[in-house]
This record gives sequence, structure tokens and C-alpha cells, in this order.
Amino acid sequence: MSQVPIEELFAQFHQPLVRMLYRRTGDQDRAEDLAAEVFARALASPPENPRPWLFAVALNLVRDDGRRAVRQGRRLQLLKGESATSASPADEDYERTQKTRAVQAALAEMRDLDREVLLLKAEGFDYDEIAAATGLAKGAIGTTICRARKRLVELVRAQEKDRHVAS
Amino acid sequence: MSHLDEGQLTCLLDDELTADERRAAEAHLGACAECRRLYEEIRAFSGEADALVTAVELPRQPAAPPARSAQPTTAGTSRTPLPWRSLAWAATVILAIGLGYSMRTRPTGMAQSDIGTDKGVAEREIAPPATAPAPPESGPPAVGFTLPRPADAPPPAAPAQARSEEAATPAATPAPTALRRDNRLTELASDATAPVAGATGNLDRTPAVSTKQAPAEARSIAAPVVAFHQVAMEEAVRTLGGTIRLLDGLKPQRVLTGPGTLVPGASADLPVVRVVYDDPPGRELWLDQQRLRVAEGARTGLTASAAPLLVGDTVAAPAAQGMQSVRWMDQAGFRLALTGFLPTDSLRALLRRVE
Repeated sequence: MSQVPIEELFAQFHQPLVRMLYRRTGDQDRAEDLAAEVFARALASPPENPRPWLFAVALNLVRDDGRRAVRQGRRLQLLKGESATSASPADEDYERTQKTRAVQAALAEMRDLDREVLLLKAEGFDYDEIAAATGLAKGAIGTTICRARKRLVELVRAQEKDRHVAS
Repeated sequence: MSHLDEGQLTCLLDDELTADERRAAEAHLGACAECRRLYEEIRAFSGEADALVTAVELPRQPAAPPARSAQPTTAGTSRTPLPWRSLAWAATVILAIGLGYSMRTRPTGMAQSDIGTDKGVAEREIAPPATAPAPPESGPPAVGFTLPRPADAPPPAAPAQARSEEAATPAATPAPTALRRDNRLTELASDATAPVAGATGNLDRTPAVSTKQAPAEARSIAAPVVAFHQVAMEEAVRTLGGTIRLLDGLKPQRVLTGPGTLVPGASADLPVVRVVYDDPPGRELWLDQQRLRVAEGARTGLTASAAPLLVGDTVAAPAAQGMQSVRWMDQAGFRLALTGFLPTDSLRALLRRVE
């Protein structure tokens, strides 16, 4: 397979990568930094099959970054900073913001693999591509996605229940 | 056909089955109420989960991709275009080095006769704010820059000859909270040997006394102003030989470097890297670090101006302006000092989080 110029990769995959990384981290600046690192690596060693490669590298980076953030206690600060910047004074945005935070918190609680298949599926990956990006056997993806979806819904519902009780 | 499991039903839902598998699965669903119920349940979960994830959209558009070149490329003669991010990064590095160079060279570029005079100070002198504290009447005449003191800080140190080493090295002087959050590029501080109490400050800080008011003898003994200047984390890491000590759980606000003379007890011939944090109440907390040469660090960490500091030792000492400082050596030859407004016990607790 011929290699796609980095410009083209950037034009095609930058926004989806940043979006996926934002869904994962809850911090757009961090997501953009990680995406830049992904493309820097693609520039250094151009991938043959770019889409799964780029997303796999992004997932690895965000996983490592998450571990480092937990170790350094930075996660709370990031969430705090993001909530400070993303809090919208408009009432109509309140519910959407709460939902976004609930989903991001739920994703953060999930197992790495479950979270990754969900994020990739949301970016339109089919099972072959998810298998290529995650290293999972294609035959196991249906079960993994099913479990991940169920878990996400349960976690978000639990958070909403807690929020309503608290308010 | 046996019952369909969740994986198969999810594959069916996601259209990931082959035509034959799909036909067989649909035939089974038509005949099996239990599998139909499970399928409906999975479909409901799937729809909700996918909607939840896709509802999380970027708050703002990410940076736009680079503009495509209008010139067609020719194989063998063209280079792969660089992504804009790389160029931006390179530009940032060049700018940082240039700024660092300019800030480092300015003080040393002054003639000795200019130091302590209007000519030497004018570039750095900024009109004092209305709330700037007046210098103590009983104190020695000050030349250079004095930080406005926090409300709870003790008065400036005693005359120069009576000062301890800590008080004589104004690099440990804190920035007041009110003036701390501006976007300054440099922090000026007097040389550790300067015989002037509290002679430290920033570009935006207020001179304690106009040099026009300073006695001639005070001007004549003023030491050259040396500076901390802000650098990128990468440059600080390079300064320390490839690694840096950070405080676990706190986010660095900025990173500075300066000569060792600016920090009490530091090796004068090695640069100091200062990582500036905010403590919980929002005041500055400094983690100063030097990486000693192998022989020096392995032996004792002894410095020219300080008592011997052995690996494992922790020395607490008061610093200027009511700050406290805790110094120690680590196994890798780092000489570290944590300085802030926190009590010594808190600083000692924090130093366990330095990694």
C-alpha cells in the first residue's frame, strides 16, 4: 500500500483524532497536543495503514498519559481546569455540559479495552479496523462492544441518579 | 440452531455478519422469543451508548489543517512538507532561546559605572503602583529592587553585615500574590553577594528607592543584577542533564533558570532550575534544583557557601520575607530546595512528593 502524504493524513484524520482524544481525556488542549504527537510519529515513520495506526498510537499515548496523570495527581486539576473553562453561563448548555461530564467520567471508569472499542466505534470504525487498532481478535469484538455499551449506560445512569438525589 | 449470544447479536446489530450468518441469525430470531428479547435489549443499550459517546463533541474547532500547496510535487525532487505544528514548535524554541539570550545578556552588558544609576536602571524601572509600600525608614538604603512585602511578612532583614546567609540571598524572596500572576518573562534578583537587603524583584516590580535617592556609597557597592529567566520545560531538563524533579500532585506554573548565586547554598558555578508552583492557598512555592557534578554530588554535595549536605540530610532554614526553605540532596546528585510560605512541617511533607 502506498504511503499517504502527511498533509493528507492531517487533513483527513486530525479532527477525528482530536475528537476521540477529547472524549477520552475531557481536555481539548491535551487532546490537540496528543494528536500533534501522533502526527509527529506518523511523520517519523509513515504508516502503511494509516487510520487504525493513527488511532492505535493515539490510544496508546492517551493511556500512557492517563497513567502519568494519575501518578502525578494531575487528573483532578485537568478536570477542574476543564470544568472552569467549559462551564457555560447559558442555562440551555447546562444539561449538555452535565451529560458530557457524566459520559467522560463514565468512560474514565471503564476498562481500557472497553473504552477504546467504544471510542473507535463512535468514530465509524468497523470490526476489522477495531481489531487492527486494538489487537483484539475480530471474533471477540462483538462481545466486547456489547459489554462496553452496557457498562457505559449503567455508569451514566448511576451518575444521573446520584446527581438527582444530590440536587 | 442454539441460542445467539450477545456477541453474535451485537454483530448482527452492527452489520458485521456475513450474508449467510445474517440469514441464519434472522431465521433464529424469528423463531426464538428469548433471543428476540435479548436482541431488543442489546439494541436499546447500543443506541443509548452510541448516542452518549457521540454527544460528546469538541467545545471548539481544533486547529485547521495546513493549507495545501498549489504546486504539484514531483517524485524525487520534492520534500515531504512539514506539518504546521512542527514549524510552530521550532519557532517557539527559537523564540525561547532568543528571549532567554536577550534577558541573560542585558544585565551583564551594562557597564559597571551604569549599575545603580539611572542609566542602568531605567530600562527596568516601572512606575510604582499606588499601594507600593514605602521602604522602612530605619533600614539601610536600598539599591535595585525590593518586592512589596506580604501583609504578614516580617520587616526587611537587618543590616547587611548582620544578616544570615538565608537573608543575604534574596533569590528566596517570594513574589506577593497580588503581583504574581502576570505574564512576566524574567525574575530579577540580586547577586547573593550584594549587600542590599531584599534586593530582588521582577521587571514589573517596584524599586524600593529611586536610585536618585540612594547614597553614592550604596551605589558604588551595588552588585551586578543577575536574573532568573523563564524557559521551556525541555530546556530546563536539558540544563539538568536530561531529567528534572517535580512535585507530584502539583502543576508547575512556570520554569525558570538562573545562576547558582541566586539560591542560598547552591553551587555558584552551576545553573539553578526553579520550578514555580502554587501552594494550596495560591502563593508561590519554589522547587529549586541543581544537578551536581558526579564527583561533587557523590562525595557530599558540599557547596562553597553552605554547610556540607549529605545525601539523605534535610536542612530547614528560614528564608527571606517570612518564607521557609527545606534543602536536601537526593541519591541522583540533585541538590534541591523547596521554598515557600508553608510551615516547615508542610514543606517536609511535600518534599516526599518530589520525584
